[in-house]
Amino acid sequence: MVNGTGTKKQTAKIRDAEATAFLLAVRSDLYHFTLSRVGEPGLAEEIVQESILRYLEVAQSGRIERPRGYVFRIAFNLTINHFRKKRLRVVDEAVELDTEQHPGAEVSPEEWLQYKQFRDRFNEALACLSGRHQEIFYLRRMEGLTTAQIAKKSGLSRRMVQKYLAQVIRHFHNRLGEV
Amino acid sequence: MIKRWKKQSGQKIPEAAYDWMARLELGDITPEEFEAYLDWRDAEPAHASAMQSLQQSWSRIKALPVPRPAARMAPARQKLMMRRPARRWAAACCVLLVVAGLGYVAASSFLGPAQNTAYAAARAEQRTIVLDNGSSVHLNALSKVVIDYSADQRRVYLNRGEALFDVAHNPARPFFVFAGTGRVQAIGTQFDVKLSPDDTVMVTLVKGVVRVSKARDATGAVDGLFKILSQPGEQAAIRVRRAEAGQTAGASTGIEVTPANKTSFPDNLAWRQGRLVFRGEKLADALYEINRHSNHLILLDDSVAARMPVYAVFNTGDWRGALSAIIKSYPVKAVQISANETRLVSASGEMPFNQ
Repeated sequence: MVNGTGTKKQTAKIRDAEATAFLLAVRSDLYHFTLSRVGEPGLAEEIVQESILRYLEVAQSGRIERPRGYVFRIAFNLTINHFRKKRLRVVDEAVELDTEQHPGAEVSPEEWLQYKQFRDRFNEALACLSGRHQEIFYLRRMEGLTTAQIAKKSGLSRRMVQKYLAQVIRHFHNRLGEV
Repeated sequence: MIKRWKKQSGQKIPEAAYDWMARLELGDITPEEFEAYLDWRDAEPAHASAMQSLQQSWSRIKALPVPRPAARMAPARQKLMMRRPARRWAAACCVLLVVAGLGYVAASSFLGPAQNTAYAAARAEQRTIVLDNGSSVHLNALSKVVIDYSADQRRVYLNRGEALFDVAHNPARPFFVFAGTGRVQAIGTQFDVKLSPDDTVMVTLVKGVVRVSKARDATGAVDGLFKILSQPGEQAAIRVRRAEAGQTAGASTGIEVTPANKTSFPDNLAWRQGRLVFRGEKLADALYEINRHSNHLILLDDSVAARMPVYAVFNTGDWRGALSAIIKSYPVKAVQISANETRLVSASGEMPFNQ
């Protein structure tokens, strides 16, 4: 590294410039994609920053075949990790909250009712799904299994698992999607 | 139903959007495929807005708990489902609810159960049984009911556990639930009946009106005493006194009615939403509930005070979450004794509470 030749330095420079130009071009798209999944501007910005850093690290050491797909995939992974951690936190918060015995103190009755009504509609829509669809939805949502794990557990192909979940998404969108 | 959503959403979602959304939700997508997705999304403005609209409706249900589905469908039925075109599948889904219920409803129960049919839900399982036109029973885990329908009466015996009843009113054919020493008469209504391991019967009204009586025996004879529940959330309990000096074994108390709590719905119905809520229940009782929904049992060592109160919310079946919360909150530690059993022992060796 210390004795790196001029050409090596030069290619690294070009790579850097290329990567920077590319990142400038996709940044806003990447941000909006992330924001739509996490819902918090600050957090989305953080994830975008982190994705760019990681992308640059890899870009230093070689050419990336599909740069756009690659950097989106990184951001996407970070989003998933965030939700994974958040799910763990939620359990702990629930415990603490109830230890202090303030049931429902922070939620207004109206909000609670609204939530409850939406939840009832959700449960109704859920009950309309076949057992197989419910199972796949449950395994992904509550147990966080991967496509391969779900496929193995349910005896379906990976493609079928994707298809079933697409049908679940369609179903909920049709039943609960309207504003 | 389909007409309604089309009008309201005002947008036709391209088929491919559901597929991409599923791939993203599963996290099952390589960088190459991601690139292909982005190309597709940018090809037409309608693609991008369809994805946005799917993302929105999907985010709205993100925080809602999904209860563990009751049981798997029979293989023959799955094949049928797969061949069915997607459009028809969506339209037919509500008919399927009646046929398939929450995964398991035998064909016979669709036509109305045969006389004296028993239904049980195993550990970590929930089950819905369609009884007759408009009535159904949702069985909680580790529960059993016997359905006894005759021409002039509908009777359900709750032999174990807990069940939520949805009853269509039919004055010509009254609906009764027998549980332990209690008899509940439904009058067009939804209510929950729970039979605890200590034989306490707890009735919770969801809507409608029920009449709770003490049953003298299985023939259905009741004491003159009864209580009417008419406020959603109202509860009636019949406890059984343990045999003590000067007491007849098994003598039950009167019917204690707890008025409805205006702000929160009774937590003991949270199981229908895939949640368990504890507000000061004894640790031993809480563990019974937690274990009911899981194939991994959390056992209590004698060194641990079983009466410690528990304040917590868990998802049904999430024994790991429950275990870690209990360990954090109480002076106990977990010892895994087999693949399916974990024992809680006192961390200090002393009793944290005086019993």
